[in-house]
Amino acid sequence: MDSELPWIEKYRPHELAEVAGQEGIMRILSSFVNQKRMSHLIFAGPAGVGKTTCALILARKILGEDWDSNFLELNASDERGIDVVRTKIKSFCRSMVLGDAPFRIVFLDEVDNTTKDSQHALRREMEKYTSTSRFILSCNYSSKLISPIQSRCVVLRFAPLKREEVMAGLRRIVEDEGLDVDDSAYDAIYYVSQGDMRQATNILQAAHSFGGRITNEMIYKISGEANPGDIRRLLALSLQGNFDTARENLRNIIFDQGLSGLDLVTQMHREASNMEIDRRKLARLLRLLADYEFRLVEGSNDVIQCESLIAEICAQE
Amino acid sequence: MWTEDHRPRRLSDIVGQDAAVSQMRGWAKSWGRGNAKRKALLLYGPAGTGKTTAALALGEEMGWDVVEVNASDNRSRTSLEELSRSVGTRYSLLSGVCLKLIILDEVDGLSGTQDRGGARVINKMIRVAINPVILTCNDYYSRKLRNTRRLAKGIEFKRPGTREIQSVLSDICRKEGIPVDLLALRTIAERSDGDLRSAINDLEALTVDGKLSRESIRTPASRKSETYIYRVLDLIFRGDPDALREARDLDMTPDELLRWIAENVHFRFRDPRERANAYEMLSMADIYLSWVGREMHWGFWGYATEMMTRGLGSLMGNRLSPFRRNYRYKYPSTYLRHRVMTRSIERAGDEETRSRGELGDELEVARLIGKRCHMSANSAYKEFLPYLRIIQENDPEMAEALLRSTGVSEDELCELPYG
Repeated sequence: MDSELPWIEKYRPHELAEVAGQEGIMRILSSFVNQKRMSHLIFAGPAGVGKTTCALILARKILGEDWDSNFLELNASDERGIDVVRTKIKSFCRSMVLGDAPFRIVFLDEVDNTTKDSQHALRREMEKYTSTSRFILSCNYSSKLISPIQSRCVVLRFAPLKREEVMAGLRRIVEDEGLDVDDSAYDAIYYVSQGDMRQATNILQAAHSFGGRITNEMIYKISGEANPGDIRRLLALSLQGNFDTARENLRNIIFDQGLSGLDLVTQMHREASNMEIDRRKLARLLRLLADYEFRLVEGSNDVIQCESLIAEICAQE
Repeated sequence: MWTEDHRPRRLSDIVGQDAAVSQMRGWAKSWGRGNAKRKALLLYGPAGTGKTTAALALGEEMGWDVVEVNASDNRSRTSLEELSRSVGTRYSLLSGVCLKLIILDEVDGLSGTQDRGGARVINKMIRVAINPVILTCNDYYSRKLRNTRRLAKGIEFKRPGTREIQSVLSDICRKEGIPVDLLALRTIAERSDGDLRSAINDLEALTVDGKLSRESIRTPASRKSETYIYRVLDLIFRGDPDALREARDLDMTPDELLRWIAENVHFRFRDPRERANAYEMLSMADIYLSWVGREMHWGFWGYATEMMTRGLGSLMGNRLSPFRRNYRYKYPSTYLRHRVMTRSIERAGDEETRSRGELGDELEVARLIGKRCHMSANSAYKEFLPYLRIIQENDPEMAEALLRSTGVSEDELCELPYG
């Protein structure tokens, strides 16, 4: 049987021009590529916005033909701890640059998951080997990195992708794979992935496995989220004190759409903030949601907890 | 054992499963003609409704050899593979060339550790089968069977009604020469709750001395707790102090009782504030129950039961509430039983076996995917595996192709447990 790469890898851009969004950052990166020079970099930003992709493109473009042997990719979540810095990174930086590459690149992913100790060890390596090595550190929050490291790097902040940017990325895949996708499905993918291109791509691939036309219902089902309209209706019914109908709607969402209690409350939270609700009522509602999110974590029967939440909302003045 | 002595040998003698039986016949005939659309049947339904009996009778009726594997046999991957080799042939010593019917009993009971890989071998066996296969299970929606459900035609066995069970019982009495007491038989039938086998077992135990007395039928623990639970719910919803004691005597775990109360509580409390307060008690009871499993401290059971009984009772003030029920209690819907229950049970038990076996496989898969796709094992596990499971559910071949591309070896191409 053939093998088929996950689409997140198959459709990973190989050119800076193909990367979705982040125009300001792309300008800087392409000048690095043109000059074949770069500083130590910190890529900060949420998941699925192109941090790893950009690191890989930089490595390929700047290091040229021998990029593979001059590029070290380490994932700090898998290989954290000071030993990795002391051994793997050190011996990589120490050895000679191979071929025509101007220097070697160390790409450390999810650095905010490393210990303070190894960050300090890393700081020394970054200074010592500037003639041969450049570092790209990627993280969700640059503030989680110790300041000596921040000061040695150029911090580039990646923004969550905008709707059109995700669409453009998805359309590329849709055309190439010859998929049949409802317009409403694009909206749904953007709604659930919230500007995370990786998640959007994974959802699209999972939807493809159903066979046939891709619809918004499929997307909600895959992502374990309910149709936002259903959630808003549930909230409205509860706020009106219509318990019996709200309970019925709740059960539909949980059983037919397969939402877990936690997913449901998280989504109610998101929708509540978007609804026109009296300020005092909203504050009370948010407290209830938080309280019941806690209860769901502690308890075991989602239906009982969610019904209790609805009953409590219905009882609010 | 009367359940063996009186097991119907012919399909037509099976009680209360007409629809299932005729579907089974149709399927068997298509095998006979050599154009069966599905190679396997998956008979599902509660215990004691006749699934295995029907499978055996079908084999008899069609004149097939029967090979039966049930839960007491070792069903590890290797032993199943051996079995599937031996049934990959149609030759039989006794009758020359003929079809063999393979009956795999209780497939939802495949144990995570002992029978590791069993489900996968069963599915493979169905795909390549040249003989008819019948699987039986109680829980059709068991995760272990999610791929099997697509391969096998599902046929439901429903609980036979009281009257049907009663007629079987009186048949047996006649054959055994025991005077028939219709009322006593009716009681046995009623409390069997549609489990014919348990009804026959009760009948046999109660008639050891050759007669059936009305007094003796009170003795065995009631199998059917439904009428009894109604009484306890009445006590609870009336705020009766006896509710706690009666609830403890119920042959039901506290979380089952909680589901019954939760299903019906909104009939009792119509005022929004009161209803919210009642739910508050149930919400806390659920949390205590979950602490039982988490902390391994059984003391929380007591508090949970008290919340459900005295806690709710406290909402009625100090007087007995003049509550008269004018509705029928609703059975906690099947979904509640299936999904939510399995979740809490898994937390307590299954996850342990998972953590050692399948979870290890999953993490290894995540590591490989992470490596191929520039992610940490952790993010691959959280961000990619959920989708991979969906793909595997819908299109196993696509999932296999994906796994292969990431360098997962043939041996490791396991079925991911559903998350």
